[in-house]
This record gives sequence, C-alpha cells and structure tokens, in this order.
Amino acid sequence: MRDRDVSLARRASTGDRAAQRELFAAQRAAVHHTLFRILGSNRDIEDALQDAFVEIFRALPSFRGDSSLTRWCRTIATRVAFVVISKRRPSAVSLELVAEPPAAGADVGDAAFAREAARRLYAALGRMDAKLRIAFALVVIDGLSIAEVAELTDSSRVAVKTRVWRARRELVRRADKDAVLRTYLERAAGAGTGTETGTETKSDAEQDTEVTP
Amino acid sequence: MTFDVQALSAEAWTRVERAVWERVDAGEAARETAPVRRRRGWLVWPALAAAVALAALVVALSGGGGGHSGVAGDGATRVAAGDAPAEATIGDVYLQLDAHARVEVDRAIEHATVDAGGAWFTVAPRGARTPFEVRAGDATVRVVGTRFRVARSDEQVTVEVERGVVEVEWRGDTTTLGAGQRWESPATAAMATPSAPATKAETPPGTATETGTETGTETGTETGTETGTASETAPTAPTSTRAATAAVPTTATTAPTAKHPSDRERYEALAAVEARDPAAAMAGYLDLADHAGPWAAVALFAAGRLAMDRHDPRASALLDRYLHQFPTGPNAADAHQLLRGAQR
Repeated sequence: MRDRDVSLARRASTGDRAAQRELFAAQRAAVHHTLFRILGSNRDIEDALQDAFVEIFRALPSFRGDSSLTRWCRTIATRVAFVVISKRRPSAVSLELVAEPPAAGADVGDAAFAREAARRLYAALGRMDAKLRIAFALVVIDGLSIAEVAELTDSSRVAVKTRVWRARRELVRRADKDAVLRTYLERAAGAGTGTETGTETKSDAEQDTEVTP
Repeated sequence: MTFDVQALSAEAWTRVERAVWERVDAGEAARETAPVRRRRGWLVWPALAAAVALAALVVALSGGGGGHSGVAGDGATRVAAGDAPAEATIGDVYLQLDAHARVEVDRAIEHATVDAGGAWFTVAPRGARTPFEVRAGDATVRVVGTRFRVARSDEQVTVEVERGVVEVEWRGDTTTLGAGQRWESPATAAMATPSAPATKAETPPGTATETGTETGTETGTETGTETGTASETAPTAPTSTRAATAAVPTTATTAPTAKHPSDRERYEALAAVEARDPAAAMAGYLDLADHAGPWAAVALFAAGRLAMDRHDPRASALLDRYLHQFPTGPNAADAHQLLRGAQR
C-alpha cells in the first residue's frame, strides 16, 4: 500500500493530471472528513478543501511513504483548518438563552438533539484557542487516538491530552449555562474509552499538567 | 453521541475540483527545489506558498518575473498591499497587511522580511520545526506559533504580540515578549550613535511595554496557559500565552552584564520553566515578588495568574495583594479580569 502511495504521489508531483485526479478522488473524503470535524460544518469548507489540496499537491514531492498518504493528507488538512480557524472571528452565539434539551428516546428527537448539540458544541469550541479546538474535535468528536492526533498536529501526546482536557474544562464551565451542551458532555463522558483512544479522563490529563513532559 | 459528517454535494465537489485544478495550473502548487526537511519522523511542512488570497493584494515578483502567481524566481513570495489593507495565506502563515505594506516570505516559509509598513502574522504552531522568523531592519522576531505584528518605518521597528510568545533580537540583544506586550527599536537618531557597553544597562536598546489586556482570547481565565507544551516547543520560546503576560517594566535592560542573574533574567527563566515545572515557577515568582523594584510587580502578578490557572487556593489572595500593592500596575486590568472570572 505504501509503495502504491509513493508511486501515486510521485506521478502526481510530476504534473501527471491523471495521477492528480486519482489522488484527489482517493483522498477527498479523508480531507473533507478532517476539515469537517474541526470546522464543524460545511460552511466555508469549499475554500478550505481547495487550500488543502493545493497544499497537498505542492508538498507531494516530499512525501516519502513514512505514513500512509491518507494520514499525510489529513495532517495537511489539519494545518489548513488551523489557518481557517485563526482567521475566523468567534461566533456570537448566546449560551445563556437556551432551552432544556428535548427528551431523549425517539430517534427523531435524538437526531434533532444531536444537531443542536453539535451546533452549540462548535459554537463553544469556536471561542477557544485553535489548538484546543482541533485537539478536542479530533480526539473526542472524531474518536482518534491521542497518538494519532499528536502526529496530525505535530505535537507531543502530553500536549494533545492537555489540550483536550483544557477544552473539556472550558466546555464544562460553559455547560453550566447550557443544558444541551451539558447533556452532550455527560453522554460523551459516559462513552469515554480511556486515555489513549478517544476520550480521556480528567485525572490523566490533569496529571500531565503537573509532570514534566 | 456522534455527529455525522455531512456529505458535500456533487456540485460542490465539482466546484472544488475545478478550482483546485485552476490553482494548480496557475502555479500555486508549484514546488521549488528547497531541500526537504523531515520533522518528527514523517511530517514535512510545505516548502512554498500555496494559497495567496488576493483581496486588494498586489503580488510583486522578485527575481525578474518568475511566472507563477506570488512565487518569485528565487522561490520567495512577495506580497504588497495597495491602497487598502490586504491579507494573504502563505503556507501556514496568515498575513494581514496594512495598506502599502510589503512583506516577503522565503521559499521554505521559515522567515519573512518586512520591507515596508506593518503586518499581523498568524503563525501555526511550529512543533519541532525551526521557529519562524520575521526580519525588519536590524530586528529579528522569532516565533513558535502565535499572532503578532511587525511594522517598520525606515529603520524604526515595532513589534506587538497578541497571542503567544516571541523573541525579538536587535543588534545582539534579545527581548522576550508575551501577549499584550510591545517592543520598539530606538528612534533613528539614537540608533546612529551606538551606546557604549557601560551604558547599556541604563539605556536598553529595545523597550518593552504593555499594550493592554490580552486580546487574542475570549474565554476568560481558562484559555491562557498551555501547560503541556514544553515538549513541543523550542526551549527558548514557550507557547504559553500567559507565561509572559505580565508587563515588562520599561526600565528593564535586555543586556544585563551582572554576574548574578538580574530580576528580569530570573523572571524570564521562571516564565520559561513554568510549563514544565509550575511549582518551581510559583516558588520563584513568590520569591521575586518580595524583591524591590519593578519586577516584583511582574512576578507577583505572574504568581497570581499561575495560581489561578492551577486552581491554587492562594490565587485570589495573590491577585488581591497585587492590586493592593500596585493598584495602577500594568497588569491591574488583567488581575481584575482574573478575579472576576474566579467569581463566576
């Protein structure tokens, strides 16, 4: 697989449009997935997708196959997302004027609740530092492991865990005034899967802040 | 609970793909021959400008033309704003240029040169990479990942930091700036007469001043300190956005010659170690806070801020003490803000 990735990257980097189209088709879902998870919606995502693929094509000659082409493209998408977030102004969503969450149970209600929770979650994340947002989105929402996100963001695992913990702490603080967000966080915490895959416990991250990385 | 990724319509994908090929054909994805540097084993950050947003932006090509939009023949990307402010994205660096500002970014996106005017730089975290540098006249600003502004008028250079920490080097002297801080090089007239070494301590080459409270964060007391970043940043430039938010006294020197560390040096060392060893930093801040002189205020505020961030029960008392001792101190507004945040 890696050989195929390297071969495709090499051909695409020489300007072979057929190879470039093949790469685009093969990676567009992964790139879109990463951008969507971080940005939270398809709003403005077309420009981000363009930027990501232009970056990818420009950087292709440096691809050596140390990781999969998909992982490599996701790294670039993550960096593009960082720039997009840095340009954006925080969304002006009032978190005080919110209703109680709808009763869970019916599928329709769950879906509606999930949409609303997503909207509020990303609104809250939008007011955070880009690094916190990216770490939380990829680890907690997307379910990537700490190690994977550390690679995607070119950071240490400790840094990623700390960012997730700090983002969660900030969300918890905001959830005091937002029942929907609170319910989401409670459910997310209930679905926690440990410290290295997916969500992590507060104590783990908190401990990391006290220990020299 | 999971949030599904919403699929993009076929029409949208068609638009994206068409635009990508147009940009590729226009040379935006052209790659120069800069050597590839491996980082963290596998990650290679792009070596060239990728997307140049051309809002009121004039792209001037150096080196005789080049032929690709924004990329000069020598691989550098030069951007120049016209009569209106402009913005550009070059690799992972986002630029907001003042009207008539001119900035050049090298092919590897490792340094930029402010030729004229001013610009805000938003730099993605550098990780293990070489700190990004911005050069303006004799000043060099090093950054790991932050938002800051560099402006020059002839040889006069100004640096402002909104987020993160940068290091300004000017004629052999180095000054560390945190969020909300500002540095100015001496006026041109003063620069024409180099000061003798003996007077250096009293006449700092660069003066750092507080420009107000942090503007880069909107989430109050929780969003400042990145306590886990020590392993991802260069040792000389911690990414803690609060580690250096304490205002730097204007009388401080950047070139101490004493054998024992000056209060400023002690403070900077504590700020640098804060992410790795907050307890030691706290002890040092408290000790420094008992000294006489302007750095006592800085250290006392830093202790209160650090305590607040660590949920140390002493936090409020320390900030109250700061406000009591330095009611009009440069971080008074920050102290009030932190105390308000604690009460919420």
